Amino acid sequence: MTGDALAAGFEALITGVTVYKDRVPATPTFPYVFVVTNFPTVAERSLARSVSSRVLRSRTQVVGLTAASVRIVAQKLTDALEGKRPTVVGWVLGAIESVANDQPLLPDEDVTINGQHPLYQPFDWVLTGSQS
Amino acid sequence: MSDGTAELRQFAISVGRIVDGAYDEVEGVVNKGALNMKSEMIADALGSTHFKGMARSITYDSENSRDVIRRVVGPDKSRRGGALGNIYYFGTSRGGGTGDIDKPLSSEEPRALSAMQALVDRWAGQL
Repeated sequence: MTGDALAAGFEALITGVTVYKDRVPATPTFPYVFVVTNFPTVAERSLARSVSSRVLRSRTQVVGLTAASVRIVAQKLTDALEGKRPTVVGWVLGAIESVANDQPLLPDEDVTINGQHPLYQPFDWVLTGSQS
Repeated sequence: MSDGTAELRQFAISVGRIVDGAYDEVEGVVNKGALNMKSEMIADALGSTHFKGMARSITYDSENSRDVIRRVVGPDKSRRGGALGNIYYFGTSRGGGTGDIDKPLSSEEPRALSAMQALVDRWAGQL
């Protein structure tokens, strides 16, 4: 019932696409999802100041060599996460929700693959829960 | 003996006075909050080894309408260093995104709510 178990439970929902956690290898397979999930921070306290709920935040970068591939993987990612309620021992969890970040699909001009820049778009997610 | 008409009229006058000044008073609270958030975002960026150069691009825009008082706080891409803002806050294809764009809002939320509550309490006292 640790924060690490919660993060692992969240990340395990992302299937059917190439996923890199915490770090992208030097020669990644495109398209991919790069996911970084934080430790769940306190979202709410009781009147007695004990922690009543925590929020897990995760950022996923969807990366592809074409805009279409980014959109296709983004759809898979959304289908895998939006509204889903992971089961993690020791936690009572709400549903995963995307958080608007207004970030467009952009070329990463610091990276060049076969003469072209990969494209990426970040998606942010939150999951609120309490430890049982 | 009053039939309540005079009291009702006085109440309506008091409400009218409050409504007349409410927009400006709420805007003052929102402006203060936006300024605090801007200051915190600048301080955070100045603390970054790689992104301190974008700190002075952080500003806020007013987007008011008749019913909405809105401030949009963040890096301005038309200012020097502003184009780095999305990399600082949202990273690239290989990671990054070391800036926490939610922290200034989280810091300001209780202060803004408290200020709004004080405003509402003062209006209630004028009725």
